[in-house]
Amino acid sequence: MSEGLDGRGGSEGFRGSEGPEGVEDFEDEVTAYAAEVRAQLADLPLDEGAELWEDLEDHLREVAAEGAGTLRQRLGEPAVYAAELRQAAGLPEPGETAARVASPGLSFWQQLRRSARATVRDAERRIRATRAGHEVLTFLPSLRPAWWVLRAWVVVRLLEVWTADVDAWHDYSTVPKIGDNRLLGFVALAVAIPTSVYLGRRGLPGGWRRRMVFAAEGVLGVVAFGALVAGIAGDEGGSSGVPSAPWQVSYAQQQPAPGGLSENGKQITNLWVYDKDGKPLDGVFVYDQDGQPVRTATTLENGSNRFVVGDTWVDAQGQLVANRYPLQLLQTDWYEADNTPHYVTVPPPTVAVPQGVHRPSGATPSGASPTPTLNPDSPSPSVGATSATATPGGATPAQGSPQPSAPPSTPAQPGAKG
Amino acid sequence: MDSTQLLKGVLDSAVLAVLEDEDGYGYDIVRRLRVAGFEEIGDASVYGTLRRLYANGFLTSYVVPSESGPHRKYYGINASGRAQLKESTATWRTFAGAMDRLLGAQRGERI
Repeated sequence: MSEGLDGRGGSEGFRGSEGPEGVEDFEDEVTAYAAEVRAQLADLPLDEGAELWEDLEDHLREVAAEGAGTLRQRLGEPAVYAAELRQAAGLPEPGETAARVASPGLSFWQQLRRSARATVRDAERRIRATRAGHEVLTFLPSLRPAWWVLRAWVVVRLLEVWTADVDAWHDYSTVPKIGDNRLLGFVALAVAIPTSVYLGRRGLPGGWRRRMVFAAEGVLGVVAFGALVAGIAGDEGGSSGVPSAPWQVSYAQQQPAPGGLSENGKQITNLWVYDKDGKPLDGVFVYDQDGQPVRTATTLENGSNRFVVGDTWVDAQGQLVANRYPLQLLQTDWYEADNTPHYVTVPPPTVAVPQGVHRPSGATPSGASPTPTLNPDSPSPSVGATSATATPGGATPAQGSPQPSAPPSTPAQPGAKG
Repeated sequence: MDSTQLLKGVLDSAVLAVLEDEDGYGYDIVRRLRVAGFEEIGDASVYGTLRRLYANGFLTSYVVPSESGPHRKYYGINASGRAQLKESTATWRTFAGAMDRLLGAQRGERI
């Protein structure tokens, strides 16, 4: 430790040790000296003082990095340094400041700016007064490169929202698309990120351009923050299906019935099954790998706004059979004057069943039978078949083929039949 | 005569002139001024002058990171800085010429 490091010690003694601890001494020395200079300028209106201080520590670090001797030896007493600085920078002398604080000549906007800056800098000064706060504020600038990358991404993301057909709040990917072209998005990122980092390293321009940069970064920061919030909200809503915050409710309600079958994000409402000759099969029971009945997004229990299930089936215990396909789906066609809906059957899709040739993959099964063990609580195929024969007639026509049939005049009520 | 008093009046022009040669960071500018003959120039004066010239829009600045040691804030002169330098150069020439003639005349010399 050299004697100049306590911030008040005499000016004799040379720069501290040359050993590994020298770096820390160096930092301490710069910080201590800068603090003393600042203390001498404490009377300045906050904005003027802080503008000067902004880079003072960096500057002193530059000075200390070159040449020998302590800062105090080379630059003199902090009080003298501060006085010289004050004069050279054209700042008011200690006695004058009080008069200038009131500054009646300033316009409303100047006053506002001045007080806003003062607030920010006052806050910064308070935070820096604590050791942890000082550490954090000193560390934060090293995160700048991350922000340079992020702001470039946000710019490309904004281009994506503008040019491509994406949901601004829910469709995200690391590489945005430009005009629905992901390669273009990649190219845009490849240009934007290096440009942003280059500009960031070059530092800020002066005057009005500096303000423009700040304004633009503010906007990008808000967008980035919004994206972050939306991303978190989207993840939560997706995994639990339960809205966890009030502002998520509208999003959650747009989701079709929870659960159900979907593929690549598209809801599957019905399953159409064909045999190898292309003959449509009816009354097919579908189970998943655990023997659980497979249900489509159109649940029999509550249906959806778009579809109702025309025919429903119950097993011997009177439980709904939800996995008998294809479902007879009915879609609202028109309404009576009293809002009674009229339905038409949703027609089967046009499919071309491939005429394939069997080609074994080479792997042969061994051991356990691939037949799933059905959950005893679920309707087994045989039970389903029983219930099918016992199924009520009435207006339910759909046992034969999936072809359109005469729509019933009233919507099917879940569980109302059979 | 205390040359630091004289220097204060021309420091703006001196700093602008140094930067017109080449961009520089704070301590580098101090050193170049000292090499140019202003040996007593104080670091605080130069730094304060830089801040003021920058605030007045005569300078640009940018940070150059360095692997060894602290990053450096470079200053460069811009168009309005050059205009300012041109104006103050003219003022200085007039002033210095008048002073030279005056001092020379009193000592019986002609310049």
